[in-house]
Amino acid sequence: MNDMTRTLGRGGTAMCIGGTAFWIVVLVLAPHVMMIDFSLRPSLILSDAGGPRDHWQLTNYANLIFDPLGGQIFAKTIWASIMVTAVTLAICYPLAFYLAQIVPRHRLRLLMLLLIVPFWINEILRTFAWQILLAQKGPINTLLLDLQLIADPIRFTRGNAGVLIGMTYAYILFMVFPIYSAMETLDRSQIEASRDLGARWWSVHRYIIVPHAKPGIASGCIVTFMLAAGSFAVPQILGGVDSLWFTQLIYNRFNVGDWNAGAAYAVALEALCLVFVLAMMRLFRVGLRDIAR
Amino acid sequence: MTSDLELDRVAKLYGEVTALHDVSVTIPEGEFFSFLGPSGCGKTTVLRLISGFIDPSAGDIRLGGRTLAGIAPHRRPTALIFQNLALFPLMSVADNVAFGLTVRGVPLAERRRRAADMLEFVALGGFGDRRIEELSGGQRQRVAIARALAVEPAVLLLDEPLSALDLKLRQHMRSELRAMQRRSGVTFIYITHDQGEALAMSDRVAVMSEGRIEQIGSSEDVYNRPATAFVASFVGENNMLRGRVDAADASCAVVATPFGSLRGGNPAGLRTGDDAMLFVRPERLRPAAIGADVQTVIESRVTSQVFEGSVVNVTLERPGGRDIVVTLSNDGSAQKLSPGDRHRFAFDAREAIVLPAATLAHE
Amino acid sequence: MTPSDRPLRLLLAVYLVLFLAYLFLPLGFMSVAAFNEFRFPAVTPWRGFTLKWFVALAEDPLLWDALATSILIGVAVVLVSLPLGLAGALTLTRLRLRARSGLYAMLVSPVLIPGIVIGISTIMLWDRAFGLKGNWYIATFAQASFISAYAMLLFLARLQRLDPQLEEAALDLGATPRQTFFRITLPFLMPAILAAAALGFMQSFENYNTTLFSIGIDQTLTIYIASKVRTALTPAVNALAVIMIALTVIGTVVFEITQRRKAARVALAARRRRAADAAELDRTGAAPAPR
Repeated sequence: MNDMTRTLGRGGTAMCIGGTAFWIVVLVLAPHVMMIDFSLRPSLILSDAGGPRDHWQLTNYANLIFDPLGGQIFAKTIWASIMVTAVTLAICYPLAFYLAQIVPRHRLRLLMLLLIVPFWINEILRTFAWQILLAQKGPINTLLLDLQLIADPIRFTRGNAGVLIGMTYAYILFMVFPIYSAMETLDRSQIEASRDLGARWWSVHRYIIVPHAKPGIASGCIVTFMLAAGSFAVPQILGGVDSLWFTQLIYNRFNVGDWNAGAAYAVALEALCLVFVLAMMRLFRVGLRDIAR
Repeated sequence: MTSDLELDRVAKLYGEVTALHDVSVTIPEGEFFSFLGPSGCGKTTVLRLISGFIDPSAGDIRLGGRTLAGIAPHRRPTALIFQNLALFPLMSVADNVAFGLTVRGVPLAERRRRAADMLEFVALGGFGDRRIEELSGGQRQRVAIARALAVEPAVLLLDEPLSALDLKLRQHMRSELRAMQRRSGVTFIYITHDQGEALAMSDRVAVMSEGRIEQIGSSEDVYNRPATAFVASFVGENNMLRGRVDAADASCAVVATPFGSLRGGNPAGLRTGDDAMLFVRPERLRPAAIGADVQTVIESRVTSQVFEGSVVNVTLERPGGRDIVVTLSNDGSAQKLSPGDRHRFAFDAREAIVLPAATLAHE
Repeated sequence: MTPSDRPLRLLLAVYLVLFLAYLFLPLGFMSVAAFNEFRFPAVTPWRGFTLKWFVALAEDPLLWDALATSILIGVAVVLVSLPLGLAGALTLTRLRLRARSGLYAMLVSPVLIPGIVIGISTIMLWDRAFGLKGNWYIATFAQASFISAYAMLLFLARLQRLDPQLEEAALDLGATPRQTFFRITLPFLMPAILAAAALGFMQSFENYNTTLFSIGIDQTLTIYIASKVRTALTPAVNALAVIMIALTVIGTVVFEITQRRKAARVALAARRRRAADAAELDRTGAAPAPR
């Protein structure tokens, strides 16, 4: 504390500690506590609140697990998010490698800018752009029909295809940058040395590049998974009634006023993300500091 | 009297580690005083204690008779020149120099005037509008000094300010700093590991090792009359011969060395049987005359002869230890000493010193 | 790289081009549709060039309301997050704590939590505590929980480059801690402050999930766009998209120009310094070194 008061003064130190405490308590902890509390209480009409039936119980969670619709959609969301993550990783890896190891320095900055600019456009608008592209009478269908590759227009909004395509597009940069950053620190001479010793490209990637880029890959996967699992706008815009996302279930609960079930679902979603993050961190041996951009 | 700095049994501990043990010294106003020692000896700790960035674990620091304990750094009448100067990068030279005045609320016109005066004092007149990033190493030094002197401190503390400079520039700045101190009359407290610097610039020097002051004295005292084995070996080049005292009296002691019994002065009052070290400087050894007192002669095989311009350094073999170094002036006497031959060298017993043995880092 | 790598490099270059096409084509189509006379947002069938959707946009009162709300929340979020982020960064760097990494984890955690969870939990707190059901300042607090974290990360990075001796020098010369903060620390942090403000505002402006669940019946521009996209759909939305894309591109270009100017200034100062050092060496070298 002495060091801090020496350079910030007593008042300054108090403000810093106070501000931090406010942030943690009011903005982070208290809301969480409230949400967990809501989730543990049954959904009661106003007059029953505070009465004998208002005590902690696990009904909301039970409903989630045993309700076919809820449980099914939760599982589907997990599976689909993993798919999105895997596809995004596959698409981004070559690009990240190209940027990190092959592109000469002076061109790099311009390329980076080109890559970032689309991402400063609103996610909603970018998803909307795909809605136009994937429409029944839209450019993609028109092209495929003209080329006579399909007989009927593909209905992307039926089923998960549209949603998956939209999510991949929306979150792709969150995968490129961490992997790129990790690869950039790899000394090019290591690659050259391994090739000099006779390794083919497969081996170079498998034994040298991937291990080095592991933290980047892990953090990219974590962020992409979490964005996908928690995504709301994309399913809303590109999905249909038969491709519900878990977040949409939560939204429905809130719409009908059942905050308690909504809270339980939200807690489940958060628990899922937490488990995934911790598992990935353990698996790839990355720390928290590597992930927060 | 008004601004004497006094360290009274100051100690500093960090958990188990003692950085300073019981340091006491009085530095009168207007003196150029140096703390000299290897890294880790505690001299930086002393500086930070005086400037107020750390508090002593024991003891007191007083300025002009009044204690500095509990006074925050920004309220102490001390100014510190940091090792990397810490000039404010976003400000011009003049703004840097005037900073201390600005935060004291000195009005603009007077601030400008005093800053300009200070820049003149350090021979940077007219540099006020320059940016810090564009200055050379020596110029930055002077800005740092101008900035510190502008607040008219009672004590100016300098933390190895010349270590980052080029050799020639360092030597040039030594005399500049000394001159500045004389002109301003401010007490300068200087810390360094370079003994040439300390000896050249200071009125008095405190030689430190492992958190303790080994000796305080003038440059000449510390060089010619070292009080401990550490001082004798750290300040300047010195030949050290270890052995047991064979005989001793109030003025001399005779030590049994691998080269036989040798005699030197006995300022520490050693007695027969004590472990001792005999020190004789390389420049005090010369080729022995026939019939020289055997207790002042070292005989050994010459291992090398290095011509270095005005002096010739001759090394003599010492069994099981570092070679003895003899520094001869370039007057032709060295030519007669060929490597591989055995020769005899003598010294004046009054110029050798016998001190209590101690563990030295560089034995 | 060896000549045998040429096919690989070519392949990757083609990949890059495809990737860029993948990124920009959807945006391109969306923009072009804004000029199509056809009453639904589409590029095919093309019914003629028109600017009427831009006009419709300007005449939509709901849009302007939503925009005002977005700006209000954006500014409020910046005003809340920047001080909090700074407080967190200063506390983490200066306070000696054994639980430092735990504190860091807790402050950064909102970044890792799905947006809707943050929105939901915030609104539940305010409902329980104050009986409020969702409005612009609740949305502000919800967004602030993670935007402060981003601000804090920017400040932490900048603070790492602050030489602690600069603040010590200021104190040593007589500045009080308060003066030191305002004259030395804050000016040094200014680039990070500006970056955090810009980033925070943009993140707040385009946020959907968290805001949707905590704002109640008000609308931000993003929420307005989303509802338009799902329901009453006209190319007016595309017109809005064109405007936003144009603004983004202009902003990027301006940013690049200022970055280049700054780099040039730094390089100039470095050149001058080297010249001064060399000159000084010449001067002192000529003087005989004292013995």
